[in-house]
Amino acid sequence: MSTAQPTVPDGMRADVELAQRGRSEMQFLQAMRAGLRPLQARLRERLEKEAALEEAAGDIARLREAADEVLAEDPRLGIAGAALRWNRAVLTPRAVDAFEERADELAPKAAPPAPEKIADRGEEAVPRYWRYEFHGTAGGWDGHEHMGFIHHELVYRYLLVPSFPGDIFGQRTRVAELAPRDTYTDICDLGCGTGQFTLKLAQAYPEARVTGVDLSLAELRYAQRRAAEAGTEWDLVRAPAEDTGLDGESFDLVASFILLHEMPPHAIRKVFAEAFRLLRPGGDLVFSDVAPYRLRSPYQAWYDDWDAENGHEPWWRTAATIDLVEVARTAGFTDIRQEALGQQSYPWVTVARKPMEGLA
Amino acid sequence: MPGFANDDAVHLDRPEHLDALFGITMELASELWVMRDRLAVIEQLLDERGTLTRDDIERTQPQGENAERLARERERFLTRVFESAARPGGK
Ligand SMILES: C[S@@+](CC[C@H](N)C(=O)[O-])C[C@H]1O[C@@H](n2cnc3c(N)ncnc32)[C@H](O)[C@@H]1O
Repeated sequence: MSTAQPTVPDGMRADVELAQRGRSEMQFLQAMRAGLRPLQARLRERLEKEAALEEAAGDIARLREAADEVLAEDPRLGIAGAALRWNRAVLTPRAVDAFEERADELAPKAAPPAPEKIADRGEEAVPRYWRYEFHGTAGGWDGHEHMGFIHHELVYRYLLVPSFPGDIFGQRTRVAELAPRDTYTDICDLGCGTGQFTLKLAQAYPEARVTGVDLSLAELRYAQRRAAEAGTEWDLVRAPAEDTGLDGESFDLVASFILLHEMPPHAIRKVFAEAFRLLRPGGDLVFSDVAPYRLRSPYQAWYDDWDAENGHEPWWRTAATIDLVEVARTAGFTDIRQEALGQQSYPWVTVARKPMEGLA
Repeated sequence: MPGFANDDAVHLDRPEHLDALFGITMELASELWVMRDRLAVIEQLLDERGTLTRDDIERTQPQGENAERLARERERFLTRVFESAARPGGK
């Protein structure tokens, strides 16, 4: 029942129907993950029995070594790795094919109402690290004109929502509501993608003017469409989060949801500095991202790291080990606190304030 | 000897080839699943209507009982594929 696909997940169109091939291929990819679960449970049992893992906890490199030793002879690890890698490698191309099979019906549902209104800082502003093939997304985030739609309506619906525990959109609502003030007037969402978190911010603070920044034009185009479907409008900007080109001191809330783990540490530092610049004195920062390894169980930390390595996540380990409190402090923020909202410390939220003038 | 017939050619002799072969297996499994799903849709439509067109097959979005049965079969199919692959040497 859990893998059947009857209801429409939160925030997705009800009228997205694939042809038989596209539908069953996407469902196959989801069932692969379900089919791997018994095997992964057995791996977990073996690892959790080992004292070696407990001893290496806190040092991810040693933890990986300890696990490799325990599992050296176990073919299940290789099978799981190869299966997940293949799954990720074909996921986007399959979703693109599924879209193309129904393009006549789906393209009109994907089209942005006013694409010329999306401000664009151009190719020159795109940092080199963003060009890596994240998550095996063939062609990157911008590999198809309607990649935003394909990603949100097909990849999320068929694979991510059924495969990941917890209400992944509810999590975004809770992070939006965690911002310290009851109302905001100007909100900036960095790395907004198709607006999954942006929409939750807009709903939590309906009186605010909302700006979304992302490097992917295709994602922004579908964000614009989703805003329109929700009866609202956002200022959308294609620019790096660490160098938005937006006016300084023009926001009272700068937020992000799972942006930081896609950037190298030097860029994370720049994003905090940019958020500081964008905020008016007294303004708030709310960044939610991956859980630090030190707060995960040894098994979970091992799994995160192994999966990131196999899943084209070049910056996960650095994001899961960086001290964001220190980063925020260095950028000038005060009142810095961190909070875990769910199991195993995910979502992991950093909240901070730009001091009022003269108090810094 | 190079240039002469090789009676015992071995082509897949690198570890990467195993991964490539695994990819081929998954490709076949996926295609097999697409066929099983299609057959299930055809059977369902024949049960319900006694006749069908190609477009009926494309349009059908299995719901409720049918969707759940297919999901169970998918999961069982893939669990078997992975469990069998993992058996040698596994504890
Ligand atoms: C995992 S998605 C998260 C999207 C959205 N915030 C959500 O809640 O689902 C990460 C997004 O960050 C964007 N991104 C990655 N690096 C970026 C950067 N340096 N500047 C702006 N956007 C970036 C990607 O294009 C992608 O849309």
